[in-house]
Amino acid sequence: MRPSEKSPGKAVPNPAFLAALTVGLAAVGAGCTVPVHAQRLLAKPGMQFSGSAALGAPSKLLPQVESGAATSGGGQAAGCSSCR
Amino acid sequence: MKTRAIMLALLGLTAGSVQGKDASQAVVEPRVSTLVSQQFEADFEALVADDIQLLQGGLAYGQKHGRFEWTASLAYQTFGLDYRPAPFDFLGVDRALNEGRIAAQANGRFRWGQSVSLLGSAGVYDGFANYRSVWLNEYFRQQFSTLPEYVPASPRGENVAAGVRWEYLPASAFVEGTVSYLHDEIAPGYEIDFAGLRRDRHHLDTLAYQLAFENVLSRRVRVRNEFRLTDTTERELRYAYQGSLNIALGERWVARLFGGYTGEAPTFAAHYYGGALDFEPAEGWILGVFGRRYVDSGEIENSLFSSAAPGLSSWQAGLSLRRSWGVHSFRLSAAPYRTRFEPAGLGTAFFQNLYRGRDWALVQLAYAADF
Repeated sequence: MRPSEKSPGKAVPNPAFLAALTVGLAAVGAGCTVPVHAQRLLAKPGMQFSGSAALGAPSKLLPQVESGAATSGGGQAAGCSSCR
Repeated sequence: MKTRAIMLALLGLTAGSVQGKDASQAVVEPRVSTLVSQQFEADFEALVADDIQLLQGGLAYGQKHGRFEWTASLAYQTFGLDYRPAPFDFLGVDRALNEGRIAAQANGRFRWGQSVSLLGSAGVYDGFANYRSVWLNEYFRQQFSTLPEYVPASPRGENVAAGVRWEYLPASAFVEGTVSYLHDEIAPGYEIDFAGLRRDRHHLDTLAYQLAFENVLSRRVRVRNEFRLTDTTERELRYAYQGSLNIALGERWVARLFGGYTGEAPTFAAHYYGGALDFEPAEGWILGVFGRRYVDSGEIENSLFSSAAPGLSSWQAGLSLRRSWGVHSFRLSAAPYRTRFEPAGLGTAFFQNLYRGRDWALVQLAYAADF
């Protein structure tokens, strides 16, 4: 069977659900406004969503093992690209 | 460093990133400044088991100049494997494998108006994408390299991405949309039957879409929600959600939590979660503990003979130390990392030594300067 063919199997959640979850949670957060002068604690380095390794970004090697956590797409996100 | 970060925060800043294979370009963004600032970062990482050694090192440099900022990075990764075939693989022999992978990435960002930024990135790499590709390439080489249809692998790839980031509530809420295209030349698998040896698809084209929201919920809480859709050649759509929550518990304590889910029809599903707790015992010193758990259902198998991975579960727990002084910061972390696969089925028996449980050590070192 080619990978593009659909086959019966264990159902996985609808992607629309996850998209709606993302937007929904963001919508909840959108109701909150914190003045800039009150964001002192939010400016701490550990409070940033940073890709900097010096600030504790996730490992660049682990996605090789955990293909479901890969964020880069392409060959790595496809898991084992030579698997049949 | 701390004072500078707080001052920038009061100007209205946040962290941001451009989608790319190397996401080390996340930066703090002042609104518009005529000052030129520069960033430099070097990082090293090792993931080591008794028969696999993965090393990664990178350098990145960037500038912010008014409305425009850019980052360029170069990374090199090595794969060291003690290849050992299954006991009943009579064509296989033990062999030490050493491969390398070099990657370059450039990212740009232009602030358009008061609340919108345009994002772009591009990158190339040459070498295997991961250690499993190295292992499987050796398996197929040992089985079929004597046949004329066999072609030695030459994996490489390119990627480009473009996006928009909109600050829809000043300093409190951001949305970022990114579209990426990736082309990968991979080390393919082979099939053999009475018609001869057939080489499987040797290139992948991928379109990836990402939508991310970042919100400040209170004076102590920042949250990020991301949704990704990945469309790769001959595969079903892969979709993923990740949520992250950063909480300033006090003046000296920060907690970071995250969780995610990835799915791909018909049966692949993965979820992961974890967190970190940082404590600042003295100015410039941060001690941390962190942990992570990952579980997936195994990759999609499409034939009786398959090199696809069985289900995987893993965990890690470790310690970190971060030191910052002046414009410099340094971070060291170390953790044991344990992986366990579900038992290999008959179809994947040839790959039992690839898909076996391992106890790894993970070490990360990083230095950054912002001047």
